[in-house]
Amino acid sequence: MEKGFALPRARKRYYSRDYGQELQLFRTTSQKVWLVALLALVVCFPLLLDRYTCYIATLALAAVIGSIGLNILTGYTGQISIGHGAFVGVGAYSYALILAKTSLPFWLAIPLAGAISGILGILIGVPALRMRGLYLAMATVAFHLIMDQVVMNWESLTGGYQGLDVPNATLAGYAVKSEAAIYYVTLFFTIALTIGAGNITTSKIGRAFCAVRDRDLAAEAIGISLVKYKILAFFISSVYAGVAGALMALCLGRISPYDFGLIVSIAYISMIIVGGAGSIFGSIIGAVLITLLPFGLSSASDLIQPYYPSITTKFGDVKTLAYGLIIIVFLIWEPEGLAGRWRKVTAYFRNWPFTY
Amino acid sequence: MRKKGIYRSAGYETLLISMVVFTLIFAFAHAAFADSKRGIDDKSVTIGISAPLSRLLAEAGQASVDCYQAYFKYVNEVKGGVNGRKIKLVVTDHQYEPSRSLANFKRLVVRDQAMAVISWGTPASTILIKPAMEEKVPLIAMSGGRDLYIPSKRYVVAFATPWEFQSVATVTYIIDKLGDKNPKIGLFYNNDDFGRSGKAGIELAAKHYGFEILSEAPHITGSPVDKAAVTNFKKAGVKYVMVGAHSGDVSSLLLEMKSQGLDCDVFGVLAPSSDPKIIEQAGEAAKRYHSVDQQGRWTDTKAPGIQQMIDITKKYGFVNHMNEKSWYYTSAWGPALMIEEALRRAGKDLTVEKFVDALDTFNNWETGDSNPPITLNPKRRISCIGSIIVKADLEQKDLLPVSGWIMPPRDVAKTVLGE
Repeated sequence: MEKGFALPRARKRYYSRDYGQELQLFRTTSQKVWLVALLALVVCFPLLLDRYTCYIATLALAAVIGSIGLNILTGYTGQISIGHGAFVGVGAYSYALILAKTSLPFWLAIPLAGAISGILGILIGVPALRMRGLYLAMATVAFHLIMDQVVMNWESLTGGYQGLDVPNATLAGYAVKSEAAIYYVTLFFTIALTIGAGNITTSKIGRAFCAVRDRDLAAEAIGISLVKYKILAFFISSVYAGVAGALMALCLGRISPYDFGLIVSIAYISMIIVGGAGSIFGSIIGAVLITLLPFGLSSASDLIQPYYPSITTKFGDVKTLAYGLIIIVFLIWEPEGLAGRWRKVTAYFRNWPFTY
Repeated sequence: MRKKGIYRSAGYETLLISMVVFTLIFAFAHAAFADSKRGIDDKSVTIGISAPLSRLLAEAGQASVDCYQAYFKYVNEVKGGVNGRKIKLVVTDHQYEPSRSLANFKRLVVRDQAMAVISWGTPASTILIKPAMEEKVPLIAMSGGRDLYIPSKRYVVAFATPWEFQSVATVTYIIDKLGDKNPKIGLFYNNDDFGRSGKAGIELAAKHYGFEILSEAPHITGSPVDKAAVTNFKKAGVKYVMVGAHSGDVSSLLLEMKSQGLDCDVFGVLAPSSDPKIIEQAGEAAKRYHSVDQQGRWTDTKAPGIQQMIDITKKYGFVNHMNEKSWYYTSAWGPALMIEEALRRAGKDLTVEKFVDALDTFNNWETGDSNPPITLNPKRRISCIGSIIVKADLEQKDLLPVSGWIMPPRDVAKTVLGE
């Protein structure tokens, strides 16, 4: 660099000067400021929202965890899974049974449920090593259908079709049952696991995942063990799904097989399609959008209902149509999802006026 | 020190402590929904309903909601409401998902201020038991799910006849009306919650009346009927085939029985098996088909309750359900009548508690034969115990009543209800 030459101030902050800076999840001051503002907002949500909206926000947070897990497996490692809902269900049932049958506190039962789901993920990951693409997708669907039947027929353990009551969680002798308390518990796990996922994806493990996704044979040729990293991806993904399931069980108070059908797996796939595969940020916005979509459409029908009372009975099909249309639109016009579109927008303004 | 990501600067410890503090604060700050005048003012009372209006069972949910809308419109316009209050119905869609059902419940009570909530379907209703009890919100569940009424819960009422009683009623009909004291029975059932409830009822009847089930055939819902099932019925000399299955599977069984030449009486042992579509699908094969039902039939115009339902349905434009003889439309008629009557009995000074107390005063309350007589009290939280037997009429393309309301034997009632 010539003596006296200095990078323009606008450019300095986008360039890392050392490896530590490169590894930071949030590199610029403005990113950190926005992050703090967002955290402050989500922490204050229960003070600003009514109990119904707080409950929906909790569902969205649990979906964020599940979505991140699936994105690690599918977006980062390239392993298609349409059985994610089954792992969520395993986590939910594990949580309910741990609370019912042991004296463990709920804050231990949640990660333990994740671990149980993770172990099941390893068991699925091993036979899945030899499969890819459509075959892997069908294998995960088969796993989901098997788990459906196990849950429905193992009545002595799962309550069968009737479902299972989830015992109340307690903290320091007080029941954690208000919407706000459950929201904060979910928020804690969401933040912790999001940070964890961010660190995983920017670490050696994350780079290995990407190598497996992009060129698995070349990755193996340069010494990245496909066996190790594929199984690890299944494990991490299943742990996340299990924790999401446990938090859902905490939120719902009662679980049944109807909560974890194949449609749940499809919902998670649509979250990463809409949000953006291979992006933690994409997982978050996809999860929030897909979770809130049916409630948003219900609110829209409520606006019309005073003028057209039977709209609610007709609007139900509109919701299903909207759901499918959104997925198709994103697949065709935004294959990188909302995260991809955000990257393009920010890159445009970062380079403005030199946009070419 | 090298920065290695956000976790060093944020501090997991700070995060943990702040979350525990917030959680503890809000664990204490538990504001209840309980409000004795919620959804009640001088001019109206708000009732919420959560039903499947899209995806699974959408047609059934929509039919039920239309029935409530028709009846409450009639009450408001013709009767001027109940004790001067119009009934305002707020409709929500749970898509047959329990998590949506719970969201709808919270929305109905928090935002729409519903005094009471009607819930459609077993999983969507059982998830509401805890919040209904904790928040003291009357829940009227259109479901016979056992957890709803055993043990009895003050704020939860199941509007149905227990499935076991329906199944037992078919055997009671065979023994008492057809006079066969030692029936040779074969059992065909869906291997799911629905079908197994029918099986449990037939097993209860077998124990009570002292006969054996000669042959059993579990069946996967929606799959082709196993020919061996019918062959085994023939080999066992079965005279009555009892079916605990959905209407599509019932039709398939009837057709298979006809093709194998097994000509005997067939009884659907659960109320949804009385769907007239079975006659459409099975045709001639349905000529000896009977079923149990827990409510009156569209074609039974001699019943004053049914005639009233037909008149109101025509008046408010829901004739499509009448033309289809929709079972799910009629399933909502009984609860709608019960809610109106409970509001009337609660009096002008209506509160949530008075409404619940009024529900407890129903003692063999007649519904004009649109439903069995309704009895509710603090120990019994399921509305009906009677069932009716209907038989296929190929000309009318419907199943018509061939019995009055059949009540279960005492020991069976005690086993199921624990009374």
